[in-house]
Amino acid sequence: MRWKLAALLLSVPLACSPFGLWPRLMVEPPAGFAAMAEKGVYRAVSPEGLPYRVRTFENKPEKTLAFWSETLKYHLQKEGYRLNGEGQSFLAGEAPGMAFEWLIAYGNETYLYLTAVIVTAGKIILAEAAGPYPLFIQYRQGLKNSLQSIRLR
Amino acid sequence: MTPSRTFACFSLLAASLLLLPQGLRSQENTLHQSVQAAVLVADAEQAADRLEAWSESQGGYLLLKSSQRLLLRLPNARVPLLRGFLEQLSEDVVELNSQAVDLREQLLSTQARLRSREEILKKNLALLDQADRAGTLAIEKELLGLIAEVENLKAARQKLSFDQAFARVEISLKFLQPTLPKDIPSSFDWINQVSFGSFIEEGY
Repeated sequence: MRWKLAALLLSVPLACSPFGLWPRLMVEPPAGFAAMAEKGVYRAVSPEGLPYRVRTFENKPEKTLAFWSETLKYHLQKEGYRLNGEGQSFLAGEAPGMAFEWLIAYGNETYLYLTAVIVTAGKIILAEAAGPYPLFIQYRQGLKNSLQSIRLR
Repeated sequence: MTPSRTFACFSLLAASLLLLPQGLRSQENTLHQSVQAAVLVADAEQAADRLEAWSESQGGYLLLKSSQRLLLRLPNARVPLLRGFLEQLSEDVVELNSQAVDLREQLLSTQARLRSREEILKKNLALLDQADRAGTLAIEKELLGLIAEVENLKAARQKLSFDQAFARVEISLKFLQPTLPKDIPSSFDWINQVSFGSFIEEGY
């Protein structure tokens, strides 16, 4: 019985953590989204199909949020993405994050593409969401709340 | 600059000011403003209706309206209020650019041409009484051409005066980008994995 209990306690965090290793990515889904955690990737989707994804990467070379958010901003601008407003800083627990919204004309519609970067515990966490403008703004606040809920444990 | 040259420049300036018509000599605004804006809205048709109603309440009017864009004329004095209204209409004002063109030169040239044509017209009319049949036909032909020219110049002057008073405002209710972003390699692996195209195609 003791062995079974010990095995069960061990299997829960191992199954939930990416690649079975610590730290484990924890995200609260935006209100109304259906969530699914895969290996190292968190995915959620709204009833209309607006996708939301959170992934982790190694922070190599080890740099701060200011460096990575500037790098991402510069790179996407170079690729032709158009920034919508200024970036917004936020806190995911104690970890600082920076979110950018990008405008993209896609299939005769205006899309918003959200990229948010959090740097913590030797990892870079990247969150993305995208959808047609009228749909995206319905979930904007929910997405912000979800970004603030992201933790690595 | 020598005093004599300074005086010459000053005299030239004074002379040119004296030659200006009364309307243009004063502090009259001769700028034609044009504004281009792009806003993102949840309901484009409703936003277009609100923009139309607002422009009319400000003394302007609509030239073109569709679910993608609007073309308005707005009194110059009301243009500074546009940003506030657009911010009420949408929290995402993507673009708001304005430019102004000075119409002074065009106004002066149109007025000068109009004055000279009117003088020639007056002289030709005076000649008409003294002319024989062949002369009358020639003068009449000339008169018809002059009258048409005078009317065109009057219309051009009127349009310029109108442009002086009303700004041209073009508002797009969508963000229209000529080209899609393209993938450019980065030195950092994770940055290479950030792409709207692959994210949206991968879907859930």
